[in-house]
Amino acid sequence: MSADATANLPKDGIWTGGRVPMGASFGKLMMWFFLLSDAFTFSSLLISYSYFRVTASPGWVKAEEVFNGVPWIPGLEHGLPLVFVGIMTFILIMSSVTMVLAVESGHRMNRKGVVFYMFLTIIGGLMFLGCQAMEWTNLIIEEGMTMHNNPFLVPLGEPGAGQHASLLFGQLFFTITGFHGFHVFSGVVINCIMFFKAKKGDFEKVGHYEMIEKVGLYWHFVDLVWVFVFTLFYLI
Amino acid sequence: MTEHTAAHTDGGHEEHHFVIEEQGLHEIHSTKKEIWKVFFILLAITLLEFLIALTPSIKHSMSKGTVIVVYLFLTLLKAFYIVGYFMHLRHEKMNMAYTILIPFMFIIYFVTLMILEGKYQVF
Repeated sequence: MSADATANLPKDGIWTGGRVPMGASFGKLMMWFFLLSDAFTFSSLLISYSYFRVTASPGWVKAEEVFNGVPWIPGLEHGLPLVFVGIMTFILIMSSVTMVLAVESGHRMNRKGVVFYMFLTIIGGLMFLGCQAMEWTNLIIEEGMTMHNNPFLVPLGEPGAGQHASLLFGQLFFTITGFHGFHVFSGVVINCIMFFKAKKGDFEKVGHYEMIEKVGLYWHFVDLVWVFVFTLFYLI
Repeated sequence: MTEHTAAHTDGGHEEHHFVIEEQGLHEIHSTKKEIWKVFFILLAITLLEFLIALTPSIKHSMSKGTVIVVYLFLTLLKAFYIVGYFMHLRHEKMNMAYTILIPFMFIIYFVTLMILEGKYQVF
């Protein structure tokens, strides 16, 4: 009956029925819309960071003075700007690649491949979170930077002394990297759920691995946000 | 009676190209070769950023504004590869790509506003 009903409808236009206008399933489209809204949230945070930094440029903390070593590894604690962040960036890009490879295995209905690459993706996410935990611990305990305290404040008598901007650095840093880190954490949790579902063979019963694709979209988005955080906080 | 998945394949051995005509689902899947190519492009761009950041002779040969523009350009290039290939937007229908990308003009508007406002030293 439904076949007859659709046969009578005009099918020459995109929006006249009988086909999927966006060429994507409902779930995938909604994941994209969620990511769009999330992109707006992160954009607002990063734009406010840039705004405060530009308006307060004389008193801003120099990022290369803060992140200049690999925490807790003897001999590498100081004098190596950007190296630790570089490792974090590489880990996240790598886990993004394993995620795409999981999606690609899903297209070929290769369950073992999906399980293997999802496992690597989870490991990558956990490694990134571990690195971030180390970075935060180093900043808070070793350097003494918190939301309400800034050890990098320029002392009185020097140009740009006592500016509020320096305090804003810690607040913006912990808010933005914290918000991003929480996204990574939820990504790892969702990846774990998908890993066990794939291992159990749930997706083979459904007949496709589109769920892995949707989770993949989220995971790549987390990587994408890190690319911007990396540039705005550590490079510029 | 009707075929719900009238799929046909074309292209080489590596590229799967499914067109499910009945539902209008248009799917071109990325290949392993393409994935690794994009990975090496991303890695190369990141290494270039490090090279600029860590080599004083390169960094100081440009003005501070130029360095920032270069960094932002490289970042947007990385974003293009991640969204286009990893998130697969380049292979989606134009309809969908526009639906996702056009709202970002509000972000451009916001950035423009904040650049204009940023002239005033408030702190």
